[in-house]
Amino acid sequence: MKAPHRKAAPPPRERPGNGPLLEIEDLVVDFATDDGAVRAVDGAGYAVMPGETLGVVGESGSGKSVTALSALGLIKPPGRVVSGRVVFDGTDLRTLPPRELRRLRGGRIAMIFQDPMTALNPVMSIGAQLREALRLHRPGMSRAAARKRAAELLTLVGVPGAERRLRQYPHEFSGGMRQRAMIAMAIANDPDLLIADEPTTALDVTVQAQVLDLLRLTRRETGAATVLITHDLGVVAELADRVVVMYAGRVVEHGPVAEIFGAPRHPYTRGLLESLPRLDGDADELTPIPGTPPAPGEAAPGCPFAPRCALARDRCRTERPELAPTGPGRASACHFHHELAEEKTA
Amino acid sequence: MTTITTSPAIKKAPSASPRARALRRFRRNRLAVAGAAVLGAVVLVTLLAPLIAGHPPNTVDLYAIRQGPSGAHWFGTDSSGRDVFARTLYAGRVSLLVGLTAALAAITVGTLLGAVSGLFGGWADHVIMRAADIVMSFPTVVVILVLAGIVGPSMTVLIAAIGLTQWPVAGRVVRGVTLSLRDREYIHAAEAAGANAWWLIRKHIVPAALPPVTVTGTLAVAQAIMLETTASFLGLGVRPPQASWGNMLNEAQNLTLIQTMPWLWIPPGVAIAVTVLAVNFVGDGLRDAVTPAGQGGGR
Amino acid sequence: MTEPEEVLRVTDLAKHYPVRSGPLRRRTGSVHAVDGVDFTLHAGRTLGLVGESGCGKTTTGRMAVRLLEPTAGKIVVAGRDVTHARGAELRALRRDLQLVFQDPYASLSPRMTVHDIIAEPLRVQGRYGDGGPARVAELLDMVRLAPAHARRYAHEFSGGQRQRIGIARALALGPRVLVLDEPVSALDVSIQAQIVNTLRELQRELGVAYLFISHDLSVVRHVSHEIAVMYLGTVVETGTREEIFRNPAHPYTQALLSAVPRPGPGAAGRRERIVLTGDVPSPIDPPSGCRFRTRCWKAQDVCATQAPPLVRRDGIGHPTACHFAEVTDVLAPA
Repeated sequence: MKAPHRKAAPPPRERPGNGPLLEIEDLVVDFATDDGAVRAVDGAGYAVMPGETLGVVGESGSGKSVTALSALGLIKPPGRVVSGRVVFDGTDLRTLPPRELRRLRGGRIAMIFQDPMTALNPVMSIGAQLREALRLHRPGMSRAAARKRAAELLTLVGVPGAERRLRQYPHEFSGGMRQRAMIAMAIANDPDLLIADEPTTALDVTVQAQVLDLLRLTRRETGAATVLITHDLGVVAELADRVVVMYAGRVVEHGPVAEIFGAPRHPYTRGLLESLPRLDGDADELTPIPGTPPAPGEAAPGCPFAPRCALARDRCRTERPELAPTGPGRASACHFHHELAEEKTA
Repeated sequence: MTTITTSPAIKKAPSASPRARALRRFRRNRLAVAGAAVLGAVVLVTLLAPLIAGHPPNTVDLYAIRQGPSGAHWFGTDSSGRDVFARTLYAGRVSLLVGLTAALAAITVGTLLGAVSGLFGGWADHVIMRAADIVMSFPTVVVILVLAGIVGPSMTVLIAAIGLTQWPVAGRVVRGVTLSLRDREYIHAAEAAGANAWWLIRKHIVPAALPPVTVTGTLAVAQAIMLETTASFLGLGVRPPQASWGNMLNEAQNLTLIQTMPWLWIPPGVAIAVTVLAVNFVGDGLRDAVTPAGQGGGR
Repeated sequence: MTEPEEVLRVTDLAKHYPVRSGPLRRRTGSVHAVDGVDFTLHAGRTLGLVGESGCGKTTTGRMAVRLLEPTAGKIVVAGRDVTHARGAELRALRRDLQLVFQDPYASLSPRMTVHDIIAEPLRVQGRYGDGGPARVAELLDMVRLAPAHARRYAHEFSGGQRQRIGIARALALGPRVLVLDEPVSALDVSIQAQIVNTLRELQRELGVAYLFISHDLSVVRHVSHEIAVMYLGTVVETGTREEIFRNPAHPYTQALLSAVPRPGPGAAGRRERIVLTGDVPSPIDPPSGCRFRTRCWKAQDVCATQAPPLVRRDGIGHPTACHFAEVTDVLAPA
């Protein structure tokens, strides 16, 4: 499904073929702790097509952020990428020298974080940071041109009085305005890929609505593919074309948002949707998923969701389910996904 | 949902109290363990002095003054013919006693004042912290000098003087801990249950402050031993004939003795250096054990 | 149906903080954190207090349990005015009013075992000697934790389990009123639902009144009988759950409801939304008249001069604080 919001087609880019823009395969990430290595990502992977918005959902500890961050070489010790393949536009990022990887980040790949305060420099004015972001990747750009472009960007993301605002510092911005400034920095170099890690989680719901609108706008303006990492299924429903559901460091289901949310084919996805408090429908008891997610490192031989799963049987506890297609463009890592399909039609 | 997803929460931590975990980290620090072993040996040897020394520490033997080390007197004898080995051991008791008591006094006063200062804030905080500033701007040796001048030098004066001048270090640490705790929700929960300030100090602040205070306390012990040495060396501390490492050095304070009779000053000198070094190693090890890297402050 | 027993009533509750500036730290103004809030809690019922950050909902909750001194207003517990209760009276009052916190990590002491955490209120009130251990075991059972958990430390538990420990502690003294300050906001959805259900069961068993403070409208909907919506220190609309969700009449309530992203199957998540412009104004110098007028699409001149009182208006079944209140079902499918 394509987003109905995108009016113009994304500007054409020089890219070989119609393959994915970013492809992560079988990524394994460990964290060293006092009590030995803990597996945070256990063979996760997904592909992002040019121009699409891919939602990555999961609860805390599911590895949804670590997967994206380590794919871009942004994971610091005690974290360590053990194995896996990460290909961005034909380039293997895992073998790329750190210098070139850095040039890619902030250039063709941009990031938006949950907390703009950690991503913005508190002692530099917003304008200076925007100009720096611009000129770092375009050495030829003149000061005047950078200043003009910075004002344009700030106006684009809906910060009123851009000229005055450029001279202000991050602490003079409200939470919503800071997030806008960070988005302006992210799109400054017209990226091909935007990684947004919980971009609206720290915001109030009315401000979140504004920022979601802005993300829609920037997608239209830049045509960049977006990886939207969030715990909020509602945000994914509003913004994403496809969704990847992660659990215990693995991808358990992926496919088009409407299909996955409308007819989940993995018991975890279904449980997640059912446990969600809603604004409409039955207002009383919620249907929680029993138990708790496994602690990282608490590896089981079979399916990580088995201890909490109503469908689980012996096979689930011994044999790890691999992702298998459940329809066009979608897959589920459940031995018994067909039972969920039958249930729905019954 | 504020979750730091880059470092997965370790839910299956081993079942152990925070103290047990700190102890485990301490044991991994070789220098600290060596320091603790040396310190333990020093304490043991001084406690067992009557069994080991072979000679009483204060018995004058005018027929055997300033003799070099021998089979009868391992470390030789001093200007009054007293056995230097025995005196070094007994002096250790005095120096360690003064060091420990004075440090304990300093951290007790400091903990209470720091907790009150942090918990109540306002003018109480103001008065206590200014008092701390004033105390810290006084050289301790001068305070000892004045006190000794007024009431005469003694061990009690020494302990009181060190306690009075060293409390601000612990006081500031505890105040800092208290400030960081004051707005913790579990403190609010205790208040909501009806707890008063004394309850909060006893049940929450002191236990939380104990690890950092232990560290400052250990370092204060080293500091107090040094101060005892200095004061006694200047004749303002422990009064002869009772031996302390400081006044033993005092007896060797002329150039001829230093050059010709090293057995008079090397034993107390080495004892001081080894003990203070060991205490400092233990202190550093404790500090690293209670504030492990990457576990910011420990809530 | 008989009206359930009234356990807590607050009237005209306000909290102003002085703002000082300049070298002499003179008082130059005040933060109007809460400005005239009224509500009533009934035994066995839940009032949901919703609003965005800075609206004063947490401050209101803390004042209701007497953890914060109100600047003005009255707090009545079971018919007794306790606004200025002190000493032994306040201590006795603590048994009736308890609090559950948002952060399951900061709200439990890392240096105490679960048993000691839950027993603390009993010890503070001098009630531990009288069957304390049995009471702790009973509380653990009430919040669905195993007896063996009592000897362990809080850091060994997951967020949801920690929140259960916090609830057990709050229930230890058998309170009539429980203020729950964002109790599930820090938890993952699948765990959130477990805690919400446990809270509902506990209320049925114990008949305790809840003040459920949250920014999350969908969670509030699942736990509340009545709802009060706060904006910048005041209540702008209040009513039963059905009234607020089906017939919201205040523009702010409508905007809040319509702003929530919903994971509806199909494209239902993508629909017309009311997107407010700008940010919440500073509570230091709140707008004159109606505080919401600076972001309101309905605002007229009268809104700047007259603060709309929270009253029942023509054609609307519940109180709203808007001159131009009008019922619109913003959740209905477009």
